[in-house]
Amino acid sequence: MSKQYFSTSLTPEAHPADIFCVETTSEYAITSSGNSILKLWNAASNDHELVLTIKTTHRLGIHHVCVNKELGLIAAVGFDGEISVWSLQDCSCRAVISDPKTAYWAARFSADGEFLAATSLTGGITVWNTASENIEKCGELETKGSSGLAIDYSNDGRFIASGHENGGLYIFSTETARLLHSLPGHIKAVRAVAFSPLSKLLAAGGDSNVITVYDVTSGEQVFNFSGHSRWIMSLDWNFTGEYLLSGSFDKSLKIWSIEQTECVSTQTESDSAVWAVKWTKTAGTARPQGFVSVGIDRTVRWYREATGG
Amino acid sequence: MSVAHGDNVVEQYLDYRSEESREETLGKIETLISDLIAGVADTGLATIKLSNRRAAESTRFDKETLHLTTRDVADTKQNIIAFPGPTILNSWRFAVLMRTLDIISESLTSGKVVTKRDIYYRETWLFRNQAIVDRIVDDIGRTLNVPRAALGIVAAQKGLACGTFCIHKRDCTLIAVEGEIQLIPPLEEIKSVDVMDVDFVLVVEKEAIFRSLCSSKFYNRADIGRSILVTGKGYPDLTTRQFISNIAACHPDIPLFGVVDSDPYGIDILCTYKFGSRAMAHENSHLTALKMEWVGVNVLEYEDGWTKLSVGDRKKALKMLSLPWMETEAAMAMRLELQRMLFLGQKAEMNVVGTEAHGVITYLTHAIKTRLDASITH
Repeated sequence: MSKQYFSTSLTPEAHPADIFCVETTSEYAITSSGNSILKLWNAASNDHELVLTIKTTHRLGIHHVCVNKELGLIAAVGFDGEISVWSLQDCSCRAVISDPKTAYWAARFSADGEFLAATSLTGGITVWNTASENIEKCGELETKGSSGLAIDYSNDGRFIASGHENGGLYIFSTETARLLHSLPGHIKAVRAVAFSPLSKLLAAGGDSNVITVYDVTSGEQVFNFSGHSRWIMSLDWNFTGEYLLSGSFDKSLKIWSIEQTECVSTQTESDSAVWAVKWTKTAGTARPQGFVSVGIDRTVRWYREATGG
Repeated sequence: MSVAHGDNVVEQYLDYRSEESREETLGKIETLISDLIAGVADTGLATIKLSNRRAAESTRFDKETLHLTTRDVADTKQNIIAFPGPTILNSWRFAVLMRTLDIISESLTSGKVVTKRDIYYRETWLFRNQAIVDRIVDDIGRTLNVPRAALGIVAAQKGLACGTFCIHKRDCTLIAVEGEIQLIPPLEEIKSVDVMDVDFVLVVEKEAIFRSLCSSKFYNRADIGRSILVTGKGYPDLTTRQFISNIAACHPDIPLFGVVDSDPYGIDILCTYKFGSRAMAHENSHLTALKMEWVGVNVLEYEDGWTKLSVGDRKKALKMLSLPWMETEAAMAMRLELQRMLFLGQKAEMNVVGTEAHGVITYLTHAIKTRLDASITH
């Protein structure tokens, strides 16, 4: 059974360069781009107008962005390899984190907002205590040294997953700071990892064009989704965990039903590669859950499920 | 052997392009400078002993090879150049020497080849004429006991051109380039360039691609028309840049295209043609061709050539992204390209092995046709 989604609104030329990442809260969609500016768009209105801009220190451009709803923080990772942390309240800079020995790449906050974890181009994963005054480093996770391109923190806070350029895919236990599973299935770069909302499943995708889904506890691969003809750049679960959204270099977005284990919708509005996708956060609101996509075409696209059908 | 001819030197240079070789020469230069600093501490005078190549006692006749050859460094006559020197002339020599060493170190560090002519143009007011540079470069080579190629310097022009045009030289000779690959002569030797009915000029980064385009007669095609093909063999020398800049200025109606690898060096080479180099900032107005259109290869489109971005590539890309002019509108496309390379961790290099050559020609024909069609509709 297929589902119908339609594009409700789009903002062309949202940034003057590729939009590399999008993150959502119940209030905003936050986009990061090849210029140094973060833009916050209204998630609740119909027009999704621009609400705030944050001029960051990343002169060379920003590729990843993540948000900490609990503490009202945004973390941006720039091509300069640094992470900057911003307060949503007053758009002030809380901290700039850098390491001369490596460049940070993908970053994620824990759901409770207490921790920030980031991969690096030298392969290691660093964890910081976000609640501390100066955002202090509190741990490091060792991998085999291949660039970490993707990271996710499970909602229950117990796991961190990372995807690497050499196809490495790892699940770490945050309690023991030890590697729990080194997951097979990818021999090419893993560019997206995402835990299901109940932290039971992990989805991963990348240059093999296939999305693999694993049982987090056992590390078993439970199923995989084939359909994208090119690299999978981004993955996100809807809040019920029923659907997985993927964005690809093949210019399309796909929605996969976990129950039916198949693709239930394909969106092809973009005529160039999609860099990132994200479901909107509508829990606790009357709005139906939709999603946002960004990419090379510099456009922010908003989608909503066609209802009443 | 102290004199070699153009192309040989380019090929010979390849052996010296390795990082080890460059490090070794740089080490020798550093030793020279640290000796100089030690001398300043001792005597308050900066002195350098420079081997004199031309003094009779510096050379000897090798009975085995029947060649006039140089003696060991220790045996050659040495000139002492000091600062402050006894005369103004001596101090000037010192300045010339230091500046040349500086330029050589810079080219060794960056791995770019420079010609003696490039060096002269860097500081025309200091060097006064080309012969001074030629002499000092060879003296440095002799002093460090390395061949000139190991200094990262080539003697002659290295740019090549081919296509349907001819060059009238000041000495009244004519270079007809129809189908023949020719060295690009220095601008001052050129009286005029007859471009006849050329539809576009295409500058190619890589010599191998250039040669395969020439042999397939890419300069004369039914679908995209007649063209001039040029290569600067990597980073272009001044002669090549002057030539391109001059054609661009004299024939504003002829489209000028550039094709480079989609890696940070390719983008840098494109920028050198378009915007000039920082080293030659004072001369750039006669050396640039801002209108050069970048036709590829584009990392998003040229998957045939995808390879992983190395750590060195990343460094180079970041260094380029942080240049102030990278934020200008004219450099926007290059900025985006560098960011995409970094984001994907991929670069696209044009290959000419086997069937790939055909791929390059198809890619270029399509890219140029699209742009030519677009300019007609405007």
